[in-house]
Amino acid sequence: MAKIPLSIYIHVPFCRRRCVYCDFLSFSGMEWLIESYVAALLADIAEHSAEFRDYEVITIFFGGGTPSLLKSEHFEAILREIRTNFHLSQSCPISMEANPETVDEAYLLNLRNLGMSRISFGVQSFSNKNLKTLGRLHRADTAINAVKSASNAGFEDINADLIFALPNQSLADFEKDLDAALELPITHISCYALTVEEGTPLADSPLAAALPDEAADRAMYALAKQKLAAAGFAHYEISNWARAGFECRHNLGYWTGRQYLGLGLGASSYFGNRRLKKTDDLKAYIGGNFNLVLLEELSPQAQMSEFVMLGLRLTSGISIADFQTRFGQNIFDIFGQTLNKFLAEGLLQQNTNKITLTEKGIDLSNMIFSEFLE
Amino acid sequence: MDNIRNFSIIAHIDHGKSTLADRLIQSSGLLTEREMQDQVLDSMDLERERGITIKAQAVRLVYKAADGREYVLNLIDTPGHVDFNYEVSRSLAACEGAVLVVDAAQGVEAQTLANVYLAIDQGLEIVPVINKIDLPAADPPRVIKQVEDIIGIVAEDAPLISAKTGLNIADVFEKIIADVPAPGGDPGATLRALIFDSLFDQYKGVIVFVRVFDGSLKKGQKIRFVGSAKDYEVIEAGFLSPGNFIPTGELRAGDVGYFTASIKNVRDTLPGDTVTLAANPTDKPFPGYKKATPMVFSSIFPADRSKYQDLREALDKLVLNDASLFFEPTTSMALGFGFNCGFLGLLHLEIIQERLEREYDLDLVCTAPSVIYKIYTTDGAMAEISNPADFPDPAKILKMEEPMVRAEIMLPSEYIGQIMEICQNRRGIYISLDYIDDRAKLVYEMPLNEIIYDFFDALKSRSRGYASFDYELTGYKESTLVKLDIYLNKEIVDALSFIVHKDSAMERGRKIVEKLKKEVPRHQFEIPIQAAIGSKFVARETVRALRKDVTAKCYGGDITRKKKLLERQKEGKKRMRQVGSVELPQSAFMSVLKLDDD
Repeated sequence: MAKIPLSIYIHVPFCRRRCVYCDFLSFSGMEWLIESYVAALLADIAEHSAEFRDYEVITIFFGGGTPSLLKSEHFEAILREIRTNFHLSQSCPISMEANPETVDEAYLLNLRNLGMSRISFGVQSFSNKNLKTLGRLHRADTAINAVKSASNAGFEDINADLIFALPNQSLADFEKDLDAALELPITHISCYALTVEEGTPLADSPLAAALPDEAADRAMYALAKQKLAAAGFAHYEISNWARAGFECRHNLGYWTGRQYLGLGLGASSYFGNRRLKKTDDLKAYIGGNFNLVLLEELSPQAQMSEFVMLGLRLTSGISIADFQTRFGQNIFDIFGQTLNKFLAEGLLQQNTNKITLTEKGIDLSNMIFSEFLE
Repeated sequence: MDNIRNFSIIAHIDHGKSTLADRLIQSSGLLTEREMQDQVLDSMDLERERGITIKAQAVRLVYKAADGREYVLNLIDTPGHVDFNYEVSRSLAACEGAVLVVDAAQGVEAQTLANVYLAIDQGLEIVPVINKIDLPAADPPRVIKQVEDIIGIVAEDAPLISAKTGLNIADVFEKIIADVPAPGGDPGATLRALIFDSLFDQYKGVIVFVRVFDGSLKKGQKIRFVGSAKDYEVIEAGFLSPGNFIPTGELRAGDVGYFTASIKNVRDTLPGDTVTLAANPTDKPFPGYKKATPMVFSSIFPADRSKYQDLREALDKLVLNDASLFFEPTTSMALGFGFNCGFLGLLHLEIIQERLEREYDLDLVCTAPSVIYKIYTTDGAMAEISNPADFPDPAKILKMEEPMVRAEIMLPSEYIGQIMEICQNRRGIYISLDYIDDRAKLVYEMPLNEIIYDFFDALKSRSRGYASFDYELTGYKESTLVKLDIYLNKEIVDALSFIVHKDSAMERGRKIVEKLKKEVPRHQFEIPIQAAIGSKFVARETVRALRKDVTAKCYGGDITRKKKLLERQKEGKKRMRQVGSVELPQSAFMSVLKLDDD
């Protein structure tokens, strides 16, 4: 019997320092707990093996926090435990996030030898001033060296994260960041507009008042689209660009309804039409609380809504045929009124079997997605 | 019948009517101390909060007098506010006497006089009572003289009491028994009873409050409502005690009480109507009350369009208890189906809106209050209009008149400057300023339409909540009025139009567009908000187009949370009103009603 495809996400909730804009689950100054955390993680992995006997793991992703704070020995132990407890596909890509200042070539070489196939660097900007403002611990040249080291170590699939619409950032400033990124041996770029999340230091800082306005923000986004396309990076998701064949397979799963198991502190899972989450209490997790707490059970209607709201994030959009196959219904019978409204307004477009966001539709995508919710 | 006394209490708004009523109920021994609540006559939450009485109700008191006999005293409560003149007249018609409560310090107030004259007109015996004699500023001899001079009744032997402390309450009972005539009427004649109030109860149907003048009303009788010409069988009849009904099966001539008859249709029991026997109707029905004239108008729409029917039912029920409420269906391009409602005054409008929201759980959108303008046109006609939609072509207008009021503002003297400024800004004409102890009484003649927006809010905020005001209509005056229209994205929003004095139009237009700018959510397109008088635009603001509403990151751990945010966004949108091409929150309609002065 064919196995069900599954992605595994592993969370590493440690950072040397929290960035001012970050609202992810991570702790700074707790690195002394890494050993016990990894031990707990190994137990967490083993605990779920029985449940996923009929699944085949087709991607693995280490996210954070700062996964590169783990030693290569930790990765070795974790990957061994995963391979022992789960079926991995032949070509399962293993991807990790890394901060530039935490890696050197020897470390990267070790990771590569363990089977790590993709590395994603939190570059964010090549302006030292901006890096400092954001609370990053690296400088522009640190990031450049890190990417080059990864390439030297044999990584063919390298991502650089950039953030735009930073406090006091001009279009010319951002253009320099794009140019600098395009100098590097990378295959993938994520460009995120800075989002001021409630409760972060940035939200309460005077910097929040120095953010570029909407027009400037959209000009930067347009510039990214234009320059990255010219450099041979295809825009495949709202914030993601890749050279052909280097789209992040793990992340593609999130937008196409693939099931995933999240291991580690506060990690989210999605399988059996349920969204679940692990405890975000670090002490409890290390103490052996690996329960998956149910967040929501998706009704058929909710599944259809998600199909649209996540699928439209991809520039390839949603397929009318896929909808029909998955839900046994025509998408226009379910969402006809909403689809037609946005098609008429030029926020969506249809090419026979595919429905995609237009450029303007991307800019107003929340407004569009919200209309597809129940 | 000669041991019955039917009376009302007339008092200025804070001269202590409710306190006296409580005290009388308590002293008559109908209630134990434990059952006494503050102001037991005021049964509605709303009334308690405002400290005033709205719904007329009655209570039966049994009192053993100095002569050794037991008397039945029926106290019929009346509202003290000028807005409710009509309800007062209904209640008074059921009585033979009225206790006039006058504050020993403040003396007779203009507002009280209107009700006193109403009572005198109906032939009631007036029993003056001087209250609050325990106050340091109390001056009973001066107040007694004032009552005699102004009202022209004997007051030298008026009971001097303190309702608050209970001082000399027995004097009030004795005075009522001595001075108020026992009810007349013929117990042997056919039934003739007057409806002075009614309530809708979901189990019993309509509960009708009556005063029986002739004959008797018994359980099982077939009765007829003369005005509505409907017949019913009496299911239950009895007396009213504070907080409950005491079924007795019969009400006789002179009695005040209630009955039920499985009445479902609230319009069958309009207050003022006559109840008689179906088989032997009286040939002397009551004339009915003079229909009250609404002074303030506002259109009310359900926030959720699907609740139109619920709103209609709620108004149908309210009108049972409040014959002065006027409503008729209306439609607005912006707000859909609703009702154009007429109110006796501002307080009445607020109370109805609050009751609809609280008791009937309705979310409402109300248009700016309006008044009745008299517009004389070149074709020699005169139109009374309240709805801005009916405002004629200015080229055809010969002359316009607007209603004026005499506004009495009581305030601590340190705020006089600020409050006078508010009045001047609203076209007020100064009449007088008097000091009573450390308080001042400021009187202005003002256009009614200047006090119906946010005058009260402005008074309160400029006086730290200390100023109170009351007003009475004084007549019409010539004026220059214009219709101000609001355009949203080049389309007129009918529900936001209103009629305003020419000199205030531009300023008000400017404030409204500023206010709306904060309320109109950004759309995919730019939205101009304009105010216009006729074809001339007098103010403009612009809501910039929404250029970015996008989530940058949406990975595995974000999905549930982002979805919740989007759901909230959708919920917010659901509560919006589609007005032409623009989606407007209902708060936008409310915001233009509260335009701060500075």
